[in-house]
Amino acid sequence: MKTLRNALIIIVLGLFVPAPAHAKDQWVVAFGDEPLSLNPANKGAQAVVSDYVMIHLYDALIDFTGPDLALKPMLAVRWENPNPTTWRFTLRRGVKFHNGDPLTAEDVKFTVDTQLANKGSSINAYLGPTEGARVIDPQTVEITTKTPFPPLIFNLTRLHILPRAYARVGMDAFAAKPFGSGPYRFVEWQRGQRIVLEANADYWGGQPTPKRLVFRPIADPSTRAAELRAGGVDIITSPPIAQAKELNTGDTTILTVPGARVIAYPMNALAKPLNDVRVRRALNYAVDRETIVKSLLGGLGRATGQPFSPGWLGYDPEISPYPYDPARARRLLADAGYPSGFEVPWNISVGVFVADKEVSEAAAAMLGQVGVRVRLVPTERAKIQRDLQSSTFDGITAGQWGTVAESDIMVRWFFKNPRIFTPEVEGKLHQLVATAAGELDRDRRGKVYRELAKFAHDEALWLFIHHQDELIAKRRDVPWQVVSGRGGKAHIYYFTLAPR
Amino acid sequence: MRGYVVGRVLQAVVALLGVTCVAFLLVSLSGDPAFILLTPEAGEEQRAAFRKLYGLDQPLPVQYARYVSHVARGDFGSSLAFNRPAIQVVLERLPATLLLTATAVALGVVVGMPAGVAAAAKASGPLDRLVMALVLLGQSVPTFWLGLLMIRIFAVNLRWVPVSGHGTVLHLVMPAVALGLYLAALLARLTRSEMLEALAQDYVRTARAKGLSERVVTVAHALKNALLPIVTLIGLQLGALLGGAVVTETVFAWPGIGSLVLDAILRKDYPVVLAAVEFVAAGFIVINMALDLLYGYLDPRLRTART
Repeated sequence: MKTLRNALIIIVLGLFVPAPAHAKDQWVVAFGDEPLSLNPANKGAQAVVSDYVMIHLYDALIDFTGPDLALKPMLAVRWENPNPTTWRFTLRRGVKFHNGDPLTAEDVKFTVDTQLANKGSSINAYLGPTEGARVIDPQTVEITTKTPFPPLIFNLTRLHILPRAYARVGMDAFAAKPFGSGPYRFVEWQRGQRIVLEANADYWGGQPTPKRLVFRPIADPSTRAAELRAGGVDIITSPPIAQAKELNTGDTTILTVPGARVIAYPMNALAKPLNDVRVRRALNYAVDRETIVKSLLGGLGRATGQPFSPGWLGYDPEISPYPYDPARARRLLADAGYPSGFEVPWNISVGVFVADKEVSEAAAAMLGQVGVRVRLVPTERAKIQRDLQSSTFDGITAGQWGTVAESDIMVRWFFKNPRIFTPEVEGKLHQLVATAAGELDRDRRGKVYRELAKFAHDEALWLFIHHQDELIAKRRDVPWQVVSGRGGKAHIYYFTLAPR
Repeated sequence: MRGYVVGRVLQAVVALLGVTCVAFLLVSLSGDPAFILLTPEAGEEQRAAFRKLYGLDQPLPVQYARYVSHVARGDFGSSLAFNRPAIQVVLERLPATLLLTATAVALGVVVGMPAGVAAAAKASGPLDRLVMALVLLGQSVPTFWLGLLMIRIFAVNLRWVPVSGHGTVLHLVMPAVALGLYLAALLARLTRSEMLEALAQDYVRTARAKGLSERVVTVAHALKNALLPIVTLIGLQLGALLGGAVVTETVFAWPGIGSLVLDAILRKDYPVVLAAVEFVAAGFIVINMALDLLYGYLDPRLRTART
């Protein structure tokens, strides 16, 4: 009787015990959000977080590697420019999609055609003036552009190669059960809960570890951190900065990807009083950025004086931030005819980026010390972006930029599209952007971008404050490191490859 | 009776139209989806194509008229973010929301009502004081704080339950308690005050004079008469929770409707927002009608008053 009772107790208790949260052959990765779709050709919308997952399902022609952004063969083993508007790629042999179909030049052509037709999408923008693709033979494909378009080669790192079978399967069915040629196969997606992938044993690049990869959306940073400490998940992105120290002890550890994210505070340099470079410089001298980085970001960032982050093409280590010099700021303001300062609005985002509100508040208080009375206006992200692109903001605006783009698109966003510069400044900026865009040689292009960075610094086109480190926390027993030194979260792979 | 139901249904249709109109305006006027749903890499060309794809380039009244005419035919449109039917996006979150709502409300009723009755029965006694102190605590502790505290103690330190997510019975415990405690506090307070009022009535004195036991007097006479506002509160809370408990869902990564709608609002994904709003509004209307019918059952006087 007693045995029976004990057995019953054990059975009943067993019902309540969750499956082992963390087994060696499975890693659980928690992001703050979940993908909008795992179909790279999703009509219209796509979120950056979709890419975090999709890079495990699909391969691109080319990949980035290392801190210096070097291009690395992926599906393409070689590429060349027979002429400035043609890119010829030689494809890797023996690559198969998860359904067994071989990956050939036809699939690359299909992908390019599909995304060129997918007009209302971000990926369409990456293709720029691309005209189309031509199959030379099963292992050779050419992509042609209407005009020379050097950034294409970098942008192709974002083009996930689709199987031709996509057309047969249909968009909705494919989105429900997507397949590519990547290191992981799709298993299931419980919306709002988890995406489960399993290792592709036939992957051309080697044997992926772990066997199962699970992605979970956990919106609250504190909850993500608690899950990590409790062992419910193995890796989390963007842990709360306030807990960084705590997460770096015991079973868990913090990994930083230094200075990945561009934090921009563009100014409307066309309207009074910010059309005067002395005023813009004064604002930059008035902010004690070292203190902001130290106290508000826990040191997990870097004071800056230029638009690019380290690792970006165009970053110039020679450009040092404006020193904190309120006396000089006051002098400059007086010279410009504002001895008693002025009032200026600043549109800020709240809770979109790490400590965005707090950083703005601190900077506004510092500006107040030199007589610049800042009116902080919490603004929705969509409005911030539209106002910047249509130049309908006054004063300062938040304009944070993600970690994933190529410099070309980023400089268009901040320095070419907005009409917020005086004619001389605008002329110079447009000339630099155009020169860089037409420059095939990467080193020479980098030089043009560095010139642009210096110009933006000298003209104080932004209120420069900081670059932010990208933080990832993991359990110590997970044998994983951040491979991409570039910092783009869309290039971080949550697995390791063993050569076969 | 039939006339009553038809009238209520007509009222409901008008209410739903009003709700969609307000929700549509709020979401549409607060920002351009093309700037949120396309990452900034997209240029004006892509944004224009995106707007065209979903008819966002049309004037607002045209968009609204088109939307309403589609909904009337049962088509809630396609989610701008997920490129899937909006109603499907909402309905797949429904089971999690229903489970959490039902558990939390049940917990609230089981804990809150007896506590309120007991407190009222011995008003100003030590038990009453204790209940009222707990009620004050339960109503004033912010849910997210309670949630994080519970996570810290029961999930991280003691490891009794998982921190977050959805799947086993254990996953349900903390979200249901966090939500249920607030409801329990709300119900205990209301039950107590309604009971105090009922216990002061003449019929209670009569019942006691007849020699009925205090227990029968409290439950069968006083409580039955105090039930009306209590049932109303339960119904309203049930309706409110159908819309999801955003804070609780967020803290425990519970895949319910609340967090979905919050994201949809931030993303300007108005088909999803509207589908969810309509669903919740419809739920509210059904609950209200059910409450009306229940009133008649609980209080026979209302039956005659209506006809």
